[in-house]
Formats: sequence, C-alpha cells, structure tokens
Amino acid sequence: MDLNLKGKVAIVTGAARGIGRAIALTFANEGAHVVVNDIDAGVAEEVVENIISLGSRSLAVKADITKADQVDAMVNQTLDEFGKVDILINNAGIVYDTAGPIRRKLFEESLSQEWHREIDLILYGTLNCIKAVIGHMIRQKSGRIVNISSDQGRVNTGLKGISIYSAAKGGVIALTRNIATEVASYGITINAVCPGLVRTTRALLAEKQRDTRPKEYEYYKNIEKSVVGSIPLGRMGEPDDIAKLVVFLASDAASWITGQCYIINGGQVMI
Amino acid sequence: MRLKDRSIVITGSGRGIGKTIAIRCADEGARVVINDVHPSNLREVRANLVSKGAKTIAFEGDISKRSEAQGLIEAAVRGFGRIDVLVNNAGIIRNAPFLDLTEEDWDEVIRVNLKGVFNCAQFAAQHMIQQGGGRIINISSRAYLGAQQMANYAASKAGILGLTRCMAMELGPYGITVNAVAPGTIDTEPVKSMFEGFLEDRIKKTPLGRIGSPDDIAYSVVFLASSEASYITGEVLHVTGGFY
Repeated sequence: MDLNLKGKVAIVTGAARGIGRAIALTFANEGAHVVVNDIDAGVAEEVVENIISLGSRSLAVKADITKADQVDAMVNQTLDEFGKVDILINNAGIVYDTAGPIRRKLFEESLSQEWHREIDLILYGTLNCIKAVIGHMIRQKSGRIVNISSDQGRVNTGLKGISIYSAAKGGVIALTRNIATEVASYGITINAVCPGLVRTTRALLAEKQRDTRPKEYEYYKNIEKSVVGSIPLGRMGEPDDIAKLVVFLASDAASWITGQCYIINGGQVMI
Repeated sequence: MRLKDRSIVITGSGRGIGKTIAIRCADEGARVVINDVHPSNLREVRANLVSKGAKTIAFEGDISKRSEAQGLIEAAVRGFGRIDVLVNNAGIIRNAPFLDLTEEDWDEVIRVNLKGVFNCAQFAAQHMIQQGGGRIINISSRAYLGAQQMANYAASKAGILGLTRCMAMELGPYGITVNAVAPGTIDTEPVKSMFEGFLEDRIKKTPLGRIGSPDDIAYSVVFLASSEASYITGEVLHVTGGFY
C-alpha cells in the first residue's frame, strides 16, 4: 500500500508540540516536505531540524492563524519555497483556559467576552487556513485537508467546563462535511479526526513538574484514574496514534474518503 | 511491509472486496488464510497469492455454520500458529422491495452476514486473548443508513455495528481492537445485479464522482490491521466517496 507522500508538501499548524509535532515528523518519515507552523518560532525550528535530519525539506513559519493576512503570508512563503501545497493539517488549537486546565469555567460562570478566544483559534483558524490554500488546490486539481477536531465536538464525554471549546470543535466537523462536498469534484478530500483523551505536551509537562506545579499534576493524575479505567484499550492516546491516522487520510490510500470524521479514542465513547 | 508475517483470515475472499483485501494484505507481507463457499474462486485466488510468493491457506466453508467457522479459525491456527487479524467480509444480498421480502430472503442474509461475523469472531477472539492481542475488522456497509430494496441487508449490516462496539468494549482489555468499515458502492459483481438506474443514481450522489474500487476498501482494512491503528477501536470507518 503506497501512501505516495514522497515529495508532497504539507503545512501543519500548531506543529511545535504534541499532536502537531507528531504529525509533522510522521509526514517527514514518509518523505513529505513539511511547513512547521506555530506561534512559538523557537520550538518550531527544533522540529524543522528534526525533519531535515530525516532527509526531508522543512521550513518553520511563525503565523497567528486567527489573522487571515498572516495565514496568507504563510501560504505564499510555502509556495515560494516549495512551489506547491498538497496537504493542509489544521491542528492548531487551544485547550480550555490558557492559564491551565484547573481554571476551566462552567458555562454559567464564563464571560461572553472570552468566548471568542477558542472560537477564533479553532474555528476561524481552520477557516482562514482552508481559505488560503483552497484556490491553489482547486487550480492544481488535487489536495488533502485534515482537520483535528475532538470527541468534544461530537458528543458529551462527561468533561465539564469546555463548552466553548466543544462548540468550536463541533463547528470544525460541520465545515468539514460541507466544504468537502463543494470541492470534491476537484479531487480535493477534506476529513476530520476526532481524538479522545491524548497525552499531550501539557500532560507530560505536568508529570515532569510534579513538585513545582502540584495542582496540575494532581489534575492529570485524577483524569488518568477516573477516565482511563473506563477506556476499553486502557490508556490515553499518544500523539503518534493520532498522527498515523492523519497521515493515512492525507495519503493516496484514502483517496475515496471525504467529508468524514474518524474517531480515535481507544473506545472511550462509541457513538 | 506493514503486515509482515501477520496471520490474517479473510472470509468470503473468493472474489470482489474480500479477494482484493487478501491480495493487499499479502502485498504487505502477511500470511493469508482465504475462505469462500465457491471452490473454483478459492482455487483461483490461492493460485494468484502463491504465485506472488505469499504463504496461503485456502479453507472452503460456510462460516454461517458454527462448525465451519470453527474449522476456518482452527485451520489458521494449525497452519500459521496464530491468528493476528480476522476480516469478516463474507456477505450476501437478497434484494427485494420490503413488502416482497420472503422469510427465506430475511433469514439467509441475517445468517450469513450477521451470524457469520458472530461465529468467526467468537472463535478467533479466544485465540487472540491467549496471544495477548489481535484485530477484528468487520465489513459493514453504507446501506445500514438506508437503501432501497435492501432492508434485510441493511439490518444485517447495522447489526454488525452493534456487535462491533460490544466486542470492542469487552475485548479491549485483552489488547484486541474491533472496528468496522462501511463501504459505499463498490465496483463488484453484486452491484451489477442491482436495479436499473442504481449505478447512475449512486455516482450522481457521490461527491467524488465515482463508485469505489475494491482497493479503496482494502487500503482501509490494511491500515486498521496495522500497528499504526492501535488506538482505534469501536469505530466505523465510512469509505464512501463522501456519500455519507
């Protein structure tokens, strides 16, 4: 089964850490060239070095995807450097409150002036990036877009205090279905991936900072105890698990799959 | 070589989707156990696989019968020492407008399509538990969402999903993932016998503008069978060209 990714050019947003980073490296392992986007330019450069050492070409591009002009500049830079864009992975997102998960607010406590933060980054960010590449992909008559949504956007997982995040992630699923239908005739597929609980950078950091940030450490340990026990596969997902599915969907082996939201959650919620 | 040396059983692999799944698994280095009720088809596929250098066992049998399903799984374990992946692909159609469906139309389709999955999965799971893990992949169909003149088929394919999820729940702790693939309209023999206008209707409704090839399904199965899909379980992968 040839994924046929050698020489393809992929833009991965939010690729400095976690799932985005794993996606970028998995593409590189398949011979694709990768634009590593993040607002953290320094860490993005480390990922670029990693990719280059794997034998692929790579570029770090700092861009705030909530700003359409910065997204356009990122795509232009990609076209200048690589001549084309084959794949877009909308991965950049924010989890809950930037101050940390223990500051999550139930909806009734939330402030309406704060809602835009998750909606801007997750929903508008995804829309801005798709808009910036779609014309090019249509002219090229080929393209692959994979949007990282979340189980939160589909169903009630039992977690509280992330209703706005969930609304934004749900919007990503709907836009996936709709835009997919509009561009299918150009040979462009657009799909979403819905991860469940993933051991992301924040969780790993909390483990390392057990002594300096005990509250966060406790928080993640509690999640492990209370939720992981109910997951049929008995563990949280790893960024690599998600990356493998994303790269499959971006490959030629998935050329008849579009408008879908594939769930990857260890069986946690099977709706 | 995503499936190197894995022992993979594919039911209903004498032609169509099942045959292509067997070939693609073999291409990825797997040892393959093929099965069908039609001996001539089975012989042909076996010859094909052997000529490619693939280790192959052919087991003729009707997996809707308990003893034959058991025989298939035992043949795999005897021949290859283990069973890593079971692909429940065997299925039949007996289409008719709902009001014209006979009791036999109903029973046959439920027996082969749904009970067949139950039979093979139960025998295979017992070995997989002892082995410490495995993969079960059930071929459902987009028809479970509703399709003209296919009430019996749709019911069997929807039943596969409930069965898939329960197996995923109960077998997960043993390291066994259980998933379904729901193909859309695929270019195979049964599709040629569908009512007039069916094909044009499907192509019109499919955003990607074509019906699927058996390879479209085989690639998803290969992915699910590989170690790369180890966190996916209880899921239904729709492979339908965008037509739900």
